[in-house]
Amino acid sequence: EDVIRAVTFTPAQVSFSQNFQKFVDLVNERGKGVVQIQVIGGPETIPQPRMGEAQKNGIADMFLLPAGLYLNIVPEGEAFAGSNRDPMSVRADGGIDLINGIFHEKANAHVLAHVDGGAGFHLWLTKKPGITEDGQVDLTDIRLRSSPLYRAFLETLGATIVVQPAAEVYTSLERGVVDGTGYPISGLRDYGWNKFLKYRLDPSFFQTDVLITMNLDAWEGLSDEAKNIVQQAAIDHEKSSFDANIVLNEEEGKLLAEGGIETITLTGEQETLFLKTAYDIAWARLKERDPANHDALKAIFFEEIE
Amino acid sequence: MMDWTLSIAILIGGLMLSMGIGLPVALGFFLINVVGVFLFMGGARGIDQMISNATMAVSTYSLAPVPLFLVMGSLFFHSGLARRVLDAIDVLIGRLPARLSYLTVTSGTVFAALSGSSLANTGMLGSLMVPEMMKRGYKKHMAIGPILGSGGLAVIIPPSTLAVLFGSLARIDIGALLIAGLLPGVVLAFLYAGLIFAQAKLDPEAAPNYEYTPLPLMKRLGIFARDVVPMVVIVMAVVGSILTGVATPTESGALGIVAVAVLALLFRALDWKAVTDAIQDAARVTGMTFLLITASSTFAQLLAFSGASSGLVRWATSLDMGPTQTLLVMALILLVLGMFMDQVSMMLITLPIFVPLAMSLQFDMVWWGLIMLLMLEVSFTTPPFGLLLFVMHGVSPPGTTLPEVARAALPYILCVFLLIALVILFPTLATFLPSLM
Amino acid sequence: MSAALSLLDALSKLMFWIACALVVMIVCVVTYDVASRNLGLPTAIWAVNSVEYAMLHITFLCFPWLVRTRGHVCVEVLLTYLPAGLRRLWQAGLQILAALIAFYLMYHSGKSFFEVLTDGSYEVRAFDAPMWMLYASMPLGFGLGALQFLSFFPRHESFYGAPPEAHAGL
Ligand code: NA
Ligand code: NA
Repeated sequence: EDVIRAVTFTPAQVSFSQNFQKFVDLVNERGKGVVQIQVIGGPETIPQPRMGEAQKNGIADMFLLPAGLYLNIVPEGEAFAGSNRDPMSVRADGGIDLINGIFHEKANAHVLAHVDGGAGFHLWLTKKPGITEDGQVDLTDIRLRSSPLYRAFLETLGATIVVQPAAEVYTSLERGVVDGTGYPISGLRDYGWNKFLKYRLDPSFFQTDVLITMNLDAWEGLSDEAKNIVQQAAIDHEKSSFDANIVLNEEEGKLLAEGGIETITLTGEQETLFLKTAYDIAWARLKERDPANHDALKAIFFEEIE
Repeated sequence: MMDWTLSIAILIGGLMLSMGIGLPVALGFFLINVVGVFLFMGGARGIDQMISNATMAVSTYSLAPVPLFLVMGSLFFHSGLARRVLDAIDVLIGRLPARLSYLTVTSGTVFAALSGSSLANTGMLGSLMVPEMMKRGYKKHMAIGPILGSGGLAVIIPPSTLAVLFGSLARIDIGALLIAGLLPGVVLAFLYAGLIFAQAKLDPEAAPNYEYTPLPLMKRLGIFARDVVPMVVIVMAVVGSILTGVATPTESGALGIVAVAVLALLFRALDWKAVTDAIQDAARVTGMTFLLITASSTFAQLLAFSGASSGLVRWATSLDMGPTQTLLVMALILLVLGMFMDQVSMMLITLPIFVPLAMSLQFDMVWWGLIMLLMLEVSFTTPPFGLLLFVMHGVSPPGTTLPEVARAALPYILCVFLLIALVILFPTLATFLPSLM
Repeated sequence: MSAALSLLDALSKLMFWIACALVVMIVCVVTYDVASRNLGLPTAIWAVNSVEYAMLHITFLCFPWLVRTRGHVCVEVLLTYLPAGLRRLWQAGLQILAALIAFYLMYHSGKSFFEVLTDGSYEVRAFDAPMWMLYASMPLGFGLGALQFLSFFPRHESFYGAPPEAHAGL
């Protein structure tokens, strides 16, 4: 029996880890006597920004880890965040095979699935944003808490950026140190930020880029039977977590709206301009770091915005 | 994988041993880290990972208050402003024994209500108050204890970064958890005051009541206007900037430094030597504290990675017990883990197991969360790993040993235990304010 | 020998001064960051991360000088119970052990430093910083720190039993 030791990038009770647990249960169920996954822990075992390296070194066998947390190792990982297509279509068009060639070489890792897809980042604000003459969202005079992923985008829109760990954002929103943040719909209420937020800006941009991956040596060390079980469970979970996410986001969105958060929806040219700006920045950054695979990846992961 | 009891015996036993024989604490941590990495992280490649993890430990913005408040405090001291202010306060308050200890608790409570960070609180009070208190002949524990005590207050009196994190991880209403800490926080401050009163009564030498000549009221007011009012500027720079949203508590130390520097200039107390001394002191203490944090955070990761800590938690919570016993066992686990780990790691390890357990026992989650937060507060000052102990040791008078600092903290930890007992006996203490929301 | 010791001290002191300069830098950068945000000056996207990196380097740059000036915490309970002769021997052993640990950490962090230097890896925070920059101070600090532990022998001094004013503090 093969035993796979897994580490997650979020604490055990956060939704990402809980969804991962469903995948673990699935494998452990199907893999009785063949392969079992044992979860070691979350970010208390290895600091998040060092998990990509730990995967490369084989400190643990399996990781639930966003590609965006180790862009220094695989800059092409940004294709997942910069993707506006669903993970199943990307897989069907050979996207996972393509990117696995890169992950094998650069990260010593094997991508099993892009999970919890279908959710992007929204801007959440305490102040109403303006619109410039050319129709772009105007965040001048708005201070936003940001992560490196979308910081460049928010700066293009004129926002002033404040870098803060998530735990400090509550007090910052309360006191007006920041006027908002980018975040996916799910998980927002966990931090209690909804108490102070008044606006949600639609559409969402980028896609959460959480992957189930394995250290390549650990992957290749599995028996063929174990490989099949794990890979098939990952493909199944990719789909079911996507579907569950769509439902969850709708429910959460409704709850937040009932709680008094007004949605501002950009449409038509405004929407196009907003999204184009966002995705262009992601793909340009990927190209700047390593242009070799940019075009091939973009052709599969990205659908042109018209 | 090794049995968790063996892992725990090796890691914690090894740590105690390497410290006990007298190795510098940071190197003792590193020694056992290397041993642990070979056992649990797969040998040499694990060492590279440990080195890499170590670069993350202090390169995090939330530790910025350490150098900032240390510079602020040591500048305040070396420029002689501290002496002016405390002289003035001496004259104003008059005969009250141990008045500077009370002053520390009072200002600690006020600052706790402004900052969310125990580190900021201790760093500021420690560097502001200790050097002058020592000069006035206070015994060490009368200076160190109140600061460690009120440093922990920052955790339960809102705002509190730790409470927010706790609330979000445990899915407890964050607003309710924050407000629930207010009343117990004030009670705790009074317990501290009572403790100081008792300590000063039992040992009058601990806080000497030096020569004092009563001054006429006008003269007192004059001193107040000259020496104390300007200091309000410093307080405003730190506190006001936090309150108005100009700066986060993390950043507020920088504005405090600017305020101290400007005031020192105005009082013609700022010379080159004061500035260089202040910076050197701050750098020394920062370097020492950060090396300890680096070494011990890697240790905490090993403890988690090896399955030792989660094994302990699972075992202890699997014992079938009644609600009160379970609550006490949870508190005991936090006490034990808190000796070796930082608060965030502790929450990450325990909450996935504690939360469902607490819910199944139908605890009021806000009440329960507050008790857990109080235990997390205690872990800041329990040896061998206590973040506030390290910072405090750094700003303590020459010759102070780590055990001395820990002993000074002990009665204050007992006060927290007393408060926990009160919260258990009278849950209203925690639930009253949230119920008004 | 004494020339080598003075060189060691000079280098340790130099590293400590660099750490002091980084402390000053942190104060200036945070002040500017707050000021720029509130006064509408150009924001410094590098502010937060450069403070983080500065704190990392302060840690290791201070190490040798803190060893020399006996600024590191240790639990001396056991030492006080040992008879004088045994205590001297014990302290000598501890100094050697401490030096060995520091040398070991120097070796491995140095290895990591050269690895990331040659493979050109970088770290992604608000900006992409070369990874070698993170490791730069670690081997230096541990290496000189180890030498400082050993230097107590030719100096005929001890890391332990320091006079109180040597201890890190205000
Ligand atoms: Na507080
Ligand atoms: Na502790």
